[in-house]
Parts: sequence; C-alpha cells; structure tokens
Amino acid sequence: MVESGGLENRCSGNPATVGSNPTPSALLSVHLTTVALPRQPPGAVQLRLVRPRLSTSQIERLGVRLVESTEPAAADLELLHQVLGTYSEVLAGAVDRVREGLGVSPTSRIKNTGTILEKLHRYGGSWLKSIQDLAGMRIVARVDRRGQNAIVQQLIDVFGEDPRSPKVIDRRLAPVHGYRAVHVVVFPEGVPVEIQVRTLWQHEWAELFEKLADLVGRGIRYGEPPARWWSPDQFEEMDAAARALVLGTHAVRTTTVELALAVAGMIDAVEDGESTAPEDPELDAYRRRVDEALVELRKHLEHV
Amino acid sequence: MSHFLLVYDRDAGMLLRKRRYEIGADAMRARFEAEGEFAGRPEIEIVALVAESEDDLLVTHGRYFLGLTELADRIA
Repeated sequence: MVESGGLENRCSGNPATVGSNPTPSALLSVHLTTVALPRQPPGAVQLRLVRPRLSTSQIERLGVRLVESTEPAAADLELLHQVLGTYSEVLAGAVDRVREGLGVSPTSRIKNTGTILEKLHRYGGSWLKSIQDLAGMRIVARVDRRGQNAIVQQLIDVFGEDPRSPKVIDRRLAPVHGYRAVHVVVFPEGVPVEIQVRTLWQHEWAELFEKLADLVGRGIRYGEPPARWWSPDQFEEMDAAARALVLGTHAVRTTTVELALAVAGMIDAVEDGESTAPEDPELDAYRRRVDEALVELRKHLEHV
Repeated sequence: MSHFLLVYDRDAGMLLRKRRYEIGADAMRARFEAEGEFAGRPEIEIVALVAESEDDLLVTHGRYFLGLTELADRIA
C-alpha cells in the first residue's frame, strides 16, 4: 500500500534535501521507508511512503526562527504545519493500536500552534526538536493506582516492539506544580507520541487547574504566581481603596492556587493509600474528603 | 473516528465554535485557518481533537464544554 502525503516532491530511496535554495518545501526530505502497519498479521511489512519529514537540525532551526520575531513568517508557519501534519498521520495509527491493544477509546490531539509558540518562547526555540508531546493521547480511567499501572504496562507491551522503546514519565512521583498522571511516550515510526494515563481524580484536578489557569494566568502551570493585571505606574496612581481591592483580589487568587495544590496532595495521599493499604477502614472517609475538597476548590474558582 | 475543531475563549470560559469533520486532513486545514483567523488573540485557544464520540471528548476534555458547576457535578 502506498499512502500519499506531500507528494509534490520527487521521491527518493534515501533521505534527500531537494533543491539548492531553502524554500519551505525544498527544505523537506522525502523518505521511502518500510514500516509494520497496524492491523496486519504479525511480522507483516509493507512499503509505505511517509510524508516529507524535516531533519532534527531543520526542526531546531525552524523553532529558533519561529521565536526570533513576534510574528512568525508565513513560510515558517507553513513548515510547522507540515511537521504537524506528519505527526497527525502517525498519531492516527498509534490510536488504532491503543484501541485494539487495550480495548479503550482514547482521545487525541496535535498540540495547537499557540501553545507550541508559547512553549518555544518560554523554553527557547531549539526546544522544538526535543518536544515529545506534539502528538498526544489521553486515557481517563475509573481505576485506582494499581489499575493505572496496569494500563501503563499494557501500553508498554503494545509499543514495546517498536525500534525505540516506550519511555514512562511518572508524574505521581515527580508532580509538576500539582499535576499528577503517568505519561508514556511511545515512538511509532520513530515519532514521539505522548499518552497521558490519568485516574478520574487526577483528571478532574487537572481540568479544574486548567480552568483556574485560564482565570488567573497560565503561568501557574509553571509554578509562577497568579498574573498581576496592573502596572507599577497604575498602582502609584490608585487611591488606598483601589490598592486594597487589587491586592486583596490577587491574594484570593494566590490562596486559590495554594488550595488547588493542597487538594492535589490529598488526592495523591489517598490514591497512594488505596494501593499500599487498600484494607484501611478509613479510606472511604478519606475519599469523601477528597470529593468535598474538589467541590470546595470549584467554589473558590467561582470567586476569582 | 470523528475530528472536532474547537475554538475556546479562555477569558470568557466559553466555547465559541465546535465543528465536526469526518476526515482528519479537513479538520487540520480548518484548524490552521482558524489559527490565522484568531492570530494575535492569545486568549483564544484553537484545538483539533479526535475521538470516537463527542461523549468521549466530554470525559477527556470537559473543560472546553463544561462550566465550573457542571465540572463539579461530574465530580460529585
């Protein structure tokens, strides 16, 4: 089977840069490659034409150019879109493998351009070459921590025969500003695809925290305090009442972020207890406290 | 699988647009067009999601569809 994609370039048996002038399409290399496709008998190998791909150094240079100016060049955005198109095709195949291998129905997405640019500005343009969550899947399961571990193992089994082994990032052991989950980065066709495996609680917390970030500033996802919406000059011009109002509002927001982080800690403690002491008679009471804390957090969100 | 294009206003907490596509390439194209349409507006989030059903999306990406109260009801 031959799949088409970006076939405007001439095909070559080896990766090749086309043309001497580095226009966006000429920067692309075309690969004719053999890959094992999903839904084939074990060991079946077919010839497939993969979308044109940028080399790692080309992607790195693209990332640098994208953040050099406030307004990315149209040609560079077009290149980025082509990279994302390639990831999208690979992601679709990976989703099929998860559906068939685990019997679950994950949802998937390609990271949006705004978030990519946001991260490039935060971490530097060269970060684009090492990004592992351009393509992502999410599995939310009504399981405890042991069930979460079982799903992770199943994913490793499904993708374990790929040339590059899956990588497990356990955000329960190393949470990121309250965020906990297990991420499995798999490499179908050599392309990284991040699969987020979340318990219901981990997921509900993450959704509420995203809502909070929308309200008080997305920097809280990186450990920053809630955004200030006034400048020092504006503060100088305020009367005492106005100053008290903005400082108080900011304090409420800061407190809400702290509450969210505390709730994340409660979830972690109870989920850990479920796996290490499942017979603990107090567990049901602890679970109720987590539910109540999540509802309380939502009430605070309504007031920020 | 169905492909969904969402345009979400973070400041307002409101979904501005939801379109469904049967072909992934169409959804990606629509996404890039929407990103151009809303360029320079960082409060607007444009997302292309793939799911077997919209119900699955409500579970995994509920924040685009549900308000705070509905999210809390889901928890309770």
